[in-house]
Amino acid sequence: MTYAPTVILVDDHDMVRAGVAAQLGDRVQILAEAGDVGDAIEVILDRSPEVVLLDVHLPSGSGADVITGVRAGGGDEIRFLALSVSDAPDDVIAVIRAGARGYVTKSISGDDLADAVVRVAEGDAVFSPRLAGFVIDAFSATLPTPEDPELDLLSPREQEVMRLLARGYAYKEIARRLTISIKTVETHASNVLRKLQVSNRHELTRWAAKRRIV
Amino acid sequence: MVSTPQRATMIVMKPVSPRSNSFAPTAAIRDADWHMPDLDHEHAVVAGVASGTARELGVPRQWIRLAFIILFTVKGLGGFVYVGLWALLRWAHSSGISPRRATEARDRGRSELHRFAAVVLITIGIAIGGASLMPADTGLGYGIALILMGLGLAWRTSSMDQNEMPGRQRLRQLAGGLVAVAVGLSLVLSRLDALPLTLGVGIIVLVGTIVVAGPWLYQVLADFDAERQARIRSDERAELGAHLHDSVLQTLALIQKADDPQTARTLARRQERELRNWLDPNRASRIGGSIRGRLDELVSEVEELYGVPVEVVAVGDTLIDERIEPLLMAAREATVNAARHSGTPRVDIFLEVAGDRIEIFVRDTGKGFDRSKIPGDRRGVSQSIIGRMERAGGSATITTDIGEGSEVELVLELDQKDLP
Repeated sequence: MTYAPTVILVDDHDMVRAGVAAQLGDRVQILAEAGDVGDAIEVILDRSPEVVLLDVHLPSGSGADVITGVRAGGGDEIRFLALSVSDAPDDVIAVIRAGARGYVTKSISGDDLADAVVRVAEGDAVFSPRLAGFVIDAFSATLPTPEDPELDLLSPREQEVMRLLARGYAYKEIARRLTISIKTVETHASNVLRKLQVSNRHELTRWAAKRRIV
Repeated sequence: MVSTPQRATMIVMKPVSPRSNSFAPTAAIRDADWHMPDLDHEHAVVAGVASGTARELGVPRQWIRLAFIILFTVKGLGGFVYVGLWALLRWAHSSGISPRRATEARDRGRSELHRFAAVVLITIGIAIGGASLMPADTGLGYGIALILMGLGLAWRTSSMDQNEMPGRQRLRQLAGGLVAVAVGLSLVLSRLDALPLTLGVGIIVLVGTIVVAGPWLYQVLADFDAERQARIRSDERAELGAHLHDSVLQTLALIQKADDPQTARTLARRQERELRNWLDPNRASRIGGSIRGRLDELVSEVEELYGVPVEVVAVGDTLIDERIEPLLMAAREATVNAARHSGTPRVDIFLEVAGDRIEIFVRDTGKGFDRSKIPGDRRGVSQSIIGRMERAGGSATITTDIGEGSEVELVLELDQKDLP
């Protein structure tokens, strides 16, 4: 059998967990499930999965709180993939900034979700078209700041990759179209994710606030 | 004065204070002993002094009331007696002078009688003293008596809370008290020629009115605000409930009845889109005029028609005008083509508005097509997409190959000079 990463599901709806587990089938090993922030942190630190599939909204907090809690508890190696129905850009960006390696919507097909989990387990970043859209939006509204001009901007190539992702292209299609290797596409994506996570907090906050009122 | 039998039946008060409970007029006690009268809230017309006294004396309430009225005609004396009695009885009962814990009924009866006699004497003294200090002008006496009574009534009313007296009755009593003050005031003023004195009395009465009505008004306003808040909350809940019922519950019922998975999927998808739109905090600004709002509408139509999910990712937004309409129509046509002919499991649309440049990408991962093999009579691609975009001053690029899916790229640059 091919490589099946260990996974913990965190979602407050039993039905969603059951559905996701059924979709993933035997392509991953589900170690445990959790329904709220406290349980999730405990079980994740206890079982140390490779990947945590994490809902953005939880009854007792947010997905970002889970990530922060796990990091504080020493779970530095554990990777998170946000899985949500939420369309609110600031919620999604918050969980990415907390350290999630990607964001996919719950409408994703089972195969694509399993692919995404495997990719995250291997250290790659996962962008759904929607997340790519949020990223373009965030960075186009973000002006370079004097203290750290490079960090807050995407390179032209990265912008190109993000646009193709937003248009619905898969990594390998992007690689072919831009005549670069898949590895390079992955590197671009990871760099964008890192920039999103470490870029100027103030600017992104302002962007999120603007999104809310416009 | 205000004692008329009809009104006595109108105003009914419940004796709720512990004070009046401890003096509940049970027949045994009343027959055996004298008690210091308590205010009889149950039959009160003004403050229950007359009916409370009548209860203890065992005479009809109307007699006592008549006595007060007759007394009132004597320079307003009845008014002074009434207010004086009221204040004294209140004070006597609230300060614990009346013996709550006396064990000997007879002792208690006697001491009560003594106290009542004292109270009456003191009151009469005050009343006569007060009346005799007045100028020998009857109108002035009536006026001042009325003012005192009105103020007393208003103060008593306004210091009660909602539980002690229902709001409407309270309002009526307060109004009655204020009317009495007003009448008394006008009587006083009509007798006084000295302007400073008139003003002084007016100001005093005004301040007094504010002081007595203050707590009540505050209470009424607070109640009103609380009611309003509750109403807003329940309206919101009702709106939410109605919406969920009209949309989600109906759809769920339909899905349960749907035979084939495709129908169920389409229904679920449409409901999802509709609910998202409803929950979107920006929806108000998107309704109607914005390009994103319009694109969402068009796309959900296509989704419903062909049962293929369409993902829209949008960056930026702009208000719609007649120059943008052809772009949206072309996008719709491209989406229809993808959903209808390509066999794709999903259509991705990416809209980007950057300044004056609007781009829409419609992409599918279906079977693709060879453009040279499209028959000339098929007007979809050439007319509806390319021709339309060119007429609108934009461009359309179609990228496709057999087995590679297809993508339609629509670009429109809005020239600011063209803006109306």
